[in-house]
Amino acid sequence: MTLELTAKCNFRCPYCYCVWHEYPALAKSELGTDGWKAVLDKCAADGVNDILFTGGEALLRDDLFEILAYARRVLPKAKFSLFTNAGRLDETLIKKFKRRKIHLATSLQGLKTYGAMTGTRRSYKRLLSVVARASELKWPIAVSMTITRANFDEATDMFVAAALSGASTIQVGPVILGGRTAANQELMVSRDEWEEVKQRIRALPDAHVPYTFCDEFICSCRADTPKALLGKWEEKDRKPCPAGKSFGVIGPNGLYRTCLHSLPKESCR
Amino acid sequence: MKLSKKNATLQRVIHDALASGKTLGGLLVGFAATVAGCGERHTPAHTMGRFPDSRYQENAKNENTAEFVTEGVIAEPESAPPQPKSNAVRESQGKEIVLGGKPLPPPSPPLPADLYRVKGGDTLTKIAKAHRTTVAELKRLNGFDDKRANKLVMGEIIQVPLYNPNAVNEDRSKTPSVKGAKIPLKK
Repeated sequence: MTLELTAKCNFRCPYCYCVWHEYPALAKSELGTDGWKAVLDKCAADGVNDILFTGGEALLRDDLFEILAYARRVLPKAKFSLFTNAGRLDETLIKKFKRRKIHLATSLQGLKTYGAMTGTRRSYKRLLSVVARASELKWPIAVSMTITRANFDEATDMFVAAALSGASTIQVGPVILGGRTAANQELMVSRDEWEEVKQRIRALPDAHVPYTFCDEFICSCRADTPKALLGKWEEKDRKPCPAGKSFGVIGPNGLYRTCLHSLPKESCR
Repeated sequence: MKLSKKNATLQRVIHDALASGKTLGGLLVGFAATVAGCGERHTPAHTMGRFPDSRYQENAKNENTAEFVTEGVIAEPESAPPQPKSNAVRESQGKEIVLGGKPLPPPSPPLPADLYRVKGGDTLTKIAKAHRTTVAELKRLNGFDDKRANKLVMGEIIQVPLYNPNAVNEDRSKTPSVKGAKIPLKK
């Protein structure tokens, strides 16, 4: 189960997949601490055993550790992960997450393009340092890389930088249609370009880091995607999204969705 | 963020390479084995809303502690993989070998030409001479202060200038001493 604790974010990634960029109503009336505790109670009652806390940027919530502590209390055996843009992640927080056995994941949006791809004036250097420090503290971070037209040329360098900095795993995928990308479709790489990125990464010397590719350009959950766009990027043998079967999402306002890219159908409040 | 000397050097090498317009692929040859297996491996159930369509890890052949992908979700063993005990022989990430309870150092792969792995008995003066540069230049490249310069750590990888690339990539035992070296002169 993925819990989108907040829609607030300190980054402005132009390719952010969060659906509230298209449907702002989803980000209104965010749940408070008690609301999330009630959600966690429901998760415990339903036997959820794997929770990913994300956002927005989950670290912007002042009550994050209160929510995490409650989650651990009601779900003592569940696996917890937290996805963060690492903008606020530091050594103290890494140690806290390690003590609480909360696995970490972040994304490397680019190297020279990091500022443009995060909509900030930040440099990739801090993110790599955070990944390296986490690795030193024996609580490494999984790193996701989203390939856009802007960072296409440095895709292999991003991969190598993440691997050398001690990423526990690396996940690479093309930018997916939805969220802010709906308004920035020029960032989407073509299928041929994506295949080229995969070949370039496969051709690298062994980095001794497990990695996966995601071939998804448009999530099959999005029934509202125009057919013209589907034709442009859709896979020939498109696989159905496992949404709703093996996972689900609860948005900032507490509404249940089957997938990060889908729209709410029913409430779990 | 304060990093260990090894990682600080590594980060500096990455930044310098990018700043000078180089690609990073070559660094994998020299560094991958030194950073691999440095900690517990884990993967959140899914990240960035992406799922590995390929249903398998691309480089699974290299991993025996890697995640297992089932039905589009990366699942992880409930507990951390058991650590090898004494006398156990383990090959993890294809590099780290534990024999008789004592980990053997991973084999040293050849380094890129602008990097040098410090050997026993090395001093900055020796390294500077071997690479036809100055101690000051080595200090500058590696961000050493005066105290740090006297404490080279065996196995540490430092940056060297590219003046004599042939001498850098060779095993030290095969490298002719500076005194006895014959430098070919152009006629």
